[in-house]
Amino acid sequence: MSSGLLTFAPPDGAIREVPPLGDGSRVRRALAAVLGDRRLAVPTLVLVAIVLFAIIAPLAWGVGPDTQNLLASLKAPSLAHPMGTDQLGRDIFARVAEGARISLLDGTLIAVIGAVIGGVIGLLAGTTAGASDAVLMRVMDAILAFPPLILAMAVTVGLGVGLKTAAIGATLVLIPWYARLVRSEAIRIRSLPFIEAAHAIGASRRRIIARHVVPHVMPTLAIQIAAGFAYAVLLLAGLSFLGLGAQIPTPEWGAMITDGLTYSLTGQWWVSVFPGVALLVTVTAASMLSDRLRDVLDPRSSGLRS
Amino acid sequence: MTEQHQQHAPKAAPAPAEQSILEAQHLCKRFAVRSERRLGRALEVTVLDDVSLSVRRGETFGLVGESGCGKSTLARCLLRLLEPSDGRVVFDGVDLATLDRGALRAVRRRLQFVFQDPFASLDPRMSARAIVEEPLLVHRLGDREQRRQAALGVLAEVGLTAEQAQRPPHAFSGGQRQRIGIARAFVLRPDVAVLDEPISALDVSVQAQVLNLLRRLQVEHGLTYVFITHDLAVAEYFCDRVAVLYLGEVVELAGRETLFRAALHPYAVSLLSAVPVPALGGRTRRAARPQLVGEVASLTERPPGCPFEPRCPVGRGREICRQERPPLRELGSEHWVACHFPGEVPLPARTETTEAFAHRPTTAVAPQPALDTEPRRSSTQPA
Repeated sequence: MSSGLLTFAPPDGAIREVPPLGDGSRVRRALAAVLGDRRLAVPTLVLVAIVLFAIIAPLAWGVGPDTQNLLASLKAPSLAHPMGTDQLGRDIFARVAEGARISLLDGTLIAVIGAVIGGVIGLLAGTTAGASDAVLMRVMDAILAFPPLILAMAVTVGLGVGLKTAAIGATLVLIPWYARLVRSEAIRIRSLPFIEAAHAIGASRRRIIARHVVPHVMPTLAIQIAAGFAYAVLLLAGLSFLGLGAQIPTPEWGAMITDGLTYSLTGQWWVSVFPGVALLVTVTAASMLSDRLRDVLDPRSSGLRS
Repeated sequence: MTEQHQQHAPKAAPAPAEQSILEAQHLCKRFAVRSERRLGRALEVTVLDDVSLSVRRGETFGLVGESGCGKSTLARCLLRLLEPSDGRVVFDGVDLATLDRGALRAVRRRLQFVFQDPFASLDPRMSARAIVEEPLLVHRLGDREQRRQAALGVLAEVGLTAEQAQRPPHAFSGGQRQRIGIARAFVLRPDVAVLDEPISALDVSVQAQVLNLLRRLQVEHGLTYVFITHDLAVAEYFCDRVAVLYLGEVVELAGRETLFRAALHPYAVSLLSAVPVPALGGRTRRAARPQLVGEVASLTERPPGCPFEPRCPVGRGREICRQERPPLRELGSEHWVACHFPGEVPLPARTETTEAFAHRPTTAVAPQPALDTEPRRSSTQPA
C-alpha cells in the first residue's frame, strides 16, 4: 500500500494543463475534453454526417421511400436516382436515408437501454458481494453461453418476428456485456482507498455508490455504449437480413440487402451495395469512436486517476 | 461476546477508564485466508491478538511497530472500518459494536481518520473543495454557501488557497494532498483523529511541515490523536505515550520519556537501538546493539508462548517463553510490559547529541473547547 506510491509519476504525454474544476458540471467538463480531442474528430464527424443525412434527406428528397414507379424499376444510379432504383422502382437513396433513421434510432435505444439495465445489474452485483452477486452473474453467464445471433434469433422468433422483437433480442444480448464490465469496474473501484475514506467520514453505501463508484464507471460505460451501438446496428441488420427483423416494405438496411441479393447476380449491384455501404460506414464509425474514446477516457492516459 | 470478556477480565486494561476517550478492550482481528485451505478448513491469520489500550483525552497516543504488526488494522478497528473479530472498542463510553448505522455515523463525526496514502485516498474526480465539503454534506451540516465557506476555511487553515481549492487532487504535490486529507478529517471538528502513518508517504522535507500542521491543529482545537508510525524518531518527537506492537500484540506501553530512555521489552529495546543517531564529528558511535535473528513468526501459526520468543536475545529457547504468553504487567508507573524477563537487555546509553535531539517541547494541550460554541462550527449547524 505504501512503497509503490512513492514512485508515482504521470505517464509520458499525460502532463497537461490542469483545468480548475470549479464551475460547470462534471458532464460539461467531460464533454469539453471529448470535443476538444482531435482523435475523436473523424468518427464523430462521420456519425454526425449520418445523423444529419437521416434527418434531412427524407425531408428534402422529393421521392418517398415507398413510392413505387414500376416503369423505372431497377434503374442504375443516375442524377434522378443517385443510388438507382429497386425492382419496384422505389428510389434507393430515399430508402437508405429512411433506413439510416431506423438504424440510428434503434441502435441508440438498444445500446442505451441495454447499458442502463446491464449497468444496474453490474452495479448491484459489484457492490454487494455474496449471494446476490453470484445469482445475478450466473444469470448473465447463462445468457452469454448462447451465441449472440442465435439468442437474438430465438427471442425474435419466440416473441413474433418484427423489428421490435429483434430490438428486444439485441438488447438481451448486450445486457450481460454491460453487466460484466460494470461489475468488474465497481469491484476495482470499491477497493480503492478513497472509498474507505468515504466510509470513514460516515458516508452511506448509497452515497458512496452514487458519488464515488458511478462517476468512475461512466467513462468505461460510455466506451461500451459506442461499441454496443455498433454491435446493435449490425445485429439488427443481420436479423433483418435473415428475415427475422424488419419486414417488407420497411426500408431497413439488412432487409434491403436481402432484397437486392437476387439482382446482384444479374448485374443490378446497386440494390444491395448502397444499403451495405451505409451499414459499413455507420458501424465502422461507431466502433472507431468507441476505440478512440477508450484512448481519450482511459484512466492510464489521462492522468486523472492515480 | 460478554462472556469472552469476562474470561479476559483479570488482564486489566491499562489506564483508568474515566479519563479515556477511546479504548480498545481485548481486541482481536482474524482474517480468513482463502487461498490456503487445509482439509476444507480455511486458514486464519490473526492480525490482532488481545490488544487493550486506552487513549486519553487530549493526548497523542503513538502506535509503533514494524510492517505487518497490525498497526493499520488496529487503527481501522478503532473506527470500525473493520469489524473486530473479538473484543470491544469504546469511544467516549459507547461501545462502537452496539451502534446502528445512524449512530455510527454520528460517532464518525467526532472520530476521524487520516490516511497514509495521500494519492489514493482522495477521489480523483473531485476538486479539493468538494472533497473537504463532502463530510459536511454527509452529515447534513449547513447550507450550500456555509459548507463552501467551511471547506475553504479549513483548507486555508491547512495552507491551501481558495484558488487552489478548485483543482483536482492530481494537481497537488504529496504534501498538499495530505493537507487536503487532513482538512477533510478536520472539517467536522472531531474530538479524536486517528492518523495512519500520515507522513510516511511524504518527502522528508515535507514531513516536518505536516507534523507541525498537525501539532498546531491539535493545540488550537484540543484534539486527541492516535498516531501510527513506524518511524521512532517521529514517535518520540510527536507522541505523549507510545505502544509498541509486535505481531498484533502490545508488548510495551509507556510514556514517551520512559519508553525512549528505559524500554524494558527486548523487542522495544532492539527497535529503539536500531534508530540511526546523528553524531558530531562524522563518526557514528556504535553502541552494543542487540541484533535480531530470524524472521517474524507466521501469523497463521502463532507461537503459543511469547510471540517474540523465536527472535528474542533473552528468551529464545527458554521453556517459559515458549510455553506461556507473558501478560502485560505494570512495572513502573504507567509502564506496561509483556515480558517474562523485562529489562534483561539494556537500552544502549544515548550520547549527548541524541539527548539534545530528543529534548524538544512536548505537546501543549489546550483546554478542550466546547465544540458547539465555536463560531464556524455553529454556523454549519442545520437551523
